[in-house]
Amino acid sequence: MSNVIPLETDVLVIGGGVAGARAAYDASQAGLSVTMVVKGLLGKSGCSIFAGNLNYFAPPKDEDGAAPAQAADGEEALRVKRTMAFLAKYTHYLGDQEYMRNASAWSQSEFFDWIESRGIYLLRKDDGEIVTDLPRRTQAWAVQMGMSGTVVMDMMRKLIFGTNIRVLEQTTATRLMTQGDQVVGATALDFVNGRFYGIRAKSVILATGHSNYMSLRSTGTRDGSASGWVLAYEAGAKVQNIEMQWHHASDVAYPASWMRLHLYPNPLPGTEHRSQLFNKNGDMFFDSNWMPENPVPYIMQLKYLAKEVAAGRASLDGGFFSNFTHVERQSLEKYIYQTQFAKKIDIDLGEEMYENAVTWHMNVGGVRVNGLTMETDVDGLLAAGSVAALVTGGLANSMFEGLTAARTAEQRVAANDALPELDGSKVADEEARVFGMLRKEPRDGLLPGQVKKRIRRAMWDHMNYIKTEASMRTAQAELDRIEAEDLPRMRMNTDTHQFNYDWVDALDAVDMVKALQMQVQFSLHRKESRGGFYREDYPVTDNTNWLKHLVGRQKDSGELELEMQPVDLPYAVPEEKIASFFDVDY
Amino acid sequence: MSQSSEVAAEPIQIGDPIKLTVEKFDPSRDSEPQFETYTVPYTKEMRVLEALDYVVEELGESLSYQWFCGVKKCGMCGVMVNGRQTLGCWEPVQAEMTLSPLAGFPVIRDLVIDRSRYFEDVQKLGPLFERRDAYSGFPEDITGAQLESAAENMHCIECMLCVSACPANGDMFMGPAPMVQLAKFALDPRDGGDRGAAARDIGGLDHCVGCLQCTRVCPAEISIFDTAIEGLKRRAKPKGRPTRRSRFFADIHSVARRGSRFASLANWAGGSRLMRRIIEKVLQIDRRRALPKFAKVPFDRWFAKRDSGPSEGTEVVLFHDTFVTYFEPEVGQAATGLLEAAGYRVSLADGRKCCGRPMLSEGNEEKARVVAAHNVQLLAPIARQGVPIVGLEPSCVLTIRNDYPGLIATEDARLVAGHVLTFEEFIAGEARAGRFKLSPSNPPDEILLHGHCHQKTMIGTGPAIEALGLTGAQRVAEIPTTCCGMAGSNGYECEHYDRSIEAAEVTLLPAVRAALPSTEIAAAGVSCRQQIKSGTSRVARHPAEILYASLVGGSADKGHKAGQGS
Repeated sequence: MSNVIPLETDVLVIGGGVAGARAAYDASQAGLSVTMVVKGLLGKSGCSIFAGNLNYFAPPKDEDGAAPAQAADGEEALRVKRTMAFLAKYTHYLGDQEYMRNASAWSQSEFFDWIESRGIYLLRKDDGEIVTDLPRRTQAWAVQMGMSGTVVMDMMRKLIFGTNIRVLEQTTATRLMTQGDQVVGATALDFVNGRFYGIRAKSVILATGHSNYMSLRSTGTRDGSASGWVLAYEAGAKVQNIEMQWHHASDVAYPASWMRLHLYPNPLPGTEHRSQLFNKNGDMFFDSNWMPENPVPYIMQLKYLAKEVAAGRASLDGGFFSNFTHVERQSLEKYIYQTQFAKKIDIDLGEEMYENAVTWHMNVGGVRVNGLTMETDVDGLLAAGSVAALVTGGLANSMFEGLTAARTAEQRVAANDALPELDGSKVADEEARVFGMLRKEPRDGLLPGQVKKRIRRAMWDHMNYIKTEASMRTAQAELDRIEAEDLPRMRMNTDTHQFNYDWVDALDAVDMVKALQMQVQFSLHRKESRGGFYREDYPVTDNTNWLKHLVGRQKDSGELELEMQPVDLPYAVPEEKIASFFDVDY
Repeated sequence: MSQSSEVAAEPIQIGDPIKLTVEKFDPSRDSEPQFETYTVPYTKEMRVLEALDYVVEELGESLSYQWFCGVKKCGMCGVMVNGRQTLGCWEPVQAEMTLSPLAGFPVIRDLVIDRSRYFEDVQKLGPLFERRDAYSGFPEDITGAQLESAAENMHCIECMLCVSACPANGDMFMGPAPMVQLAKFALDPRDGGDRGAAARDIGGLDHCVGCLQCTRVCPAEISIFDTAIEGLKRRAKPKGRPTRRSRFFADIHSVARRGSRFASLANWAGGSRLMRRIIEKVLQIDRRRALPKFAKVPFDRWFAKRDSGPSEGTEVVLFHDTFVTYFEPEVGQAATGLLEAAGYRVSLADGRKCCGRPMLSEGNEEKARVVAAHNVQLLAPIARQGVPIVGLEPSCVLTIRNDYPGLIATEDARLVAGHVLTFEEFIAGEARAGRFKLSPSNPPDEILLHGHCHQKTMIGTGPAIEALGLTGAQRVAEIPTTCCGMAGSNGYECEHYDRSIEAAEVTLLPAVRAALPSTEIAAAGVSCRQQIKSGTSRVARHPAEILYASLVGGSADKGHKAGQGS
């Protein structure tokens, strides 16, 4: 039946967020032919548009507002140092510290120049000073708090459409194609009109992001199905630390589609105040100014919330509130994107609190890569941005990974004259799998969107922020049941090729089950609590036994093999060995 | 801004059924769209997007719609809700709603539209920042104040609501969103590109009709017309001399004054096929468009000759615009009759000139400033005495209110701006204060209101609905329309005629045709009434006429007849 459209390219980039966009742009500027496969729209889908803040660690001001004495090695060195200290805690010491050093240096010396020289407006006061949080000065914002990623990605989109990069939008990569031990391309489905591509590439850069829509409440966009993990894993790459799932405590409780609206506990623009959380009794249980030096207030919020939930004073799906009534109006009205949302439903953040609930958010782990080159454990495949296991998000970090991957891809393309062949039978098998999902039978089966909802419900009920061995086993059993009973019985009302989102949902549902089965196994394996990963049955952060990477790969039998790998700590070492989860500040 | 189409919508409670009708269409299989209706239970502060998710995830129905983020960043969930452009993640659901794909775009399937033309247009305009001077390194030397209006435009998420709502969008004009993309740079002092030229020569900015629909529908709350469009117009001075037509419309006041002296001859010319062909050739006014008829006796002459009204009572000055004066004096007569019956002392703004809107529409700010200065001088003493100045044509009133202070930055201009009211605002305010006390003697069953663009954008239709409620009608509802398509003189112009009719056919004309014969159609804008008249067999009336008929009894005499009789 083969209707496969063959494409050839030096570099294939899968993903249209900041890492993929920068990788594609740089590779194209270096003269390579580049093809982008984007499941949503370049610069409009995925998690990059959500990047609210930009880490800008300017030296803190003293009480008189004067700049402090400079560190001996200058302001930039100080900024790099502060960025690194932040990233170590941001990854709960599981991040790659050599990478962090490079990423911090780049983000503080080049990132802002790169975006500002291209017209990005860093929010300023009327006198020209960059708006930051006071007095520590750790963040800056493009246009407004909450808009940074949106405007940077708008620019990236337009930059790329001004090049000769081939951009396949609303096209989802269904499988990486291998030849021997090497990744040589991918298959992809354009679901706007049912075109199926077989793409040959000298180098493949996976940049599919990490904030996935895997639970009933999630910050992930519609397209986020953790397919990046599955693509890489099935092609032979290793996956690392994916149990380190973050949640957000302070996303709005309603309306449902606004669950992705984050009421930042981070330092706020142009004020010394920060958000506070109140329980259902009206008592404040969290103020990030209680720990002004702590760079990861979102992690701390969750720890404090867990105590409230245990005491029956809040629940994960609501009954606690963000408070901004102590924050200056100018900051709320002029600098913060979120304020208008509250206003739209008649909540004046200057006067009232807004109910919050927990959401499934980013992931510290991902595809294991070499932090200097972005190479995965499989030849021909690079991973950049948050799908990789280096750090948890951040627009500058992901952009840095994108440009690093582009450099590695350039070297690989230069060293390889011949474009590898795809294995025709593997492509045909994949085509048959993908088109086999376009079925209207059985009539009493479930729409793929309904199956996704069941998957999300299982995660919300049993793999939420607070979990135990028992809850995770229940989640596992439900995922296994969905795999055995629901996935084979997915059906659609129409088998049209014309923007059939049920088709995408069907592909997603299969990947979601695989990714989550893997994640549950990782989670069951880690017998401690760390950062955003909280097990009620192991409420201890154990740096003696568990400051380790958990690494998984697919055995020939198809099963997951897990192993522990040491973590290098050349620059930052945690102070405590074994401590109560709630006493640890990361 | 008026959000609901019904006067007094009951708040929806959690669990209440939402009746959701969706236009479904698969161009690869269906010959025409089908409408399917679903019932969705209301959840707290439910948005339109959530109702769609419910259809798929709970009802198990296939439905194509687009979204990524749910929080107004991706701009992909734009949809028509009961005929209005909205963003699905931003708009609350309504108890009964019909969802259709954004008007004016090719449909891919169901609610999914093809945006490729917009993306191509933006690339043609030059979508990248072009630095005026060499970059000095981070942080560069700029201030928040300098970037304020550019930053407003940086909130654009390309959701296409404005493009869909724009009656001028089409082959001639790329529509508002591409202009916003240009304005981000044009208003940024760091940028050196010739954005005005791109807007005019590539984007077709001259075809913008100033209807303000873009500003009204923008979910990012960008004042698209005021910042982007006007900002670019200032940077895009038209080349060469204005066209004959442009001068004709800009000068409509003098044309009308001269024409009315020879009303029969002018009306004959307007109706004659031969003359229409000549008019089309010379003025590029589409011959299919009926021209308004000149009244034999202009309103101001009727006013001077009428039996004078009460000698006591609160004083009101009526700003008799060009259209009321020369084309539709019956509207002015009804307003006068109503006010006098209610005990007000009415006088006219004698010596007033055209408000300046036509000149502004044609891009002639200089000429508009001259008439604005004249009118401010005339009206300021009246305003200073605290006498309300009431106008019948929303665009005239709102030009004085919103544009005068910008055109002439004087205290007097601000004073006058603060004192002008639309007729409906005045009546509603007086009734609320207990000063307007007429009670209905002849209430209509139902009134359907079509709001004028400027009215909807700047003050909302609330006051009009409130005023019309005084008629005692059982139901006063707003037709959820966008622009009627006329947009001032736009609908007369050959190259815009088809687009103008298309815009009217989206909601307005079908709703008017479907109205019961006994239903009154209300429209405060003169061109809106003309569009309704030419597109349906119905006659829409100004709220003043409807109020007069139901409160004072009997309809106001038709202009021509009144003119003859006096």
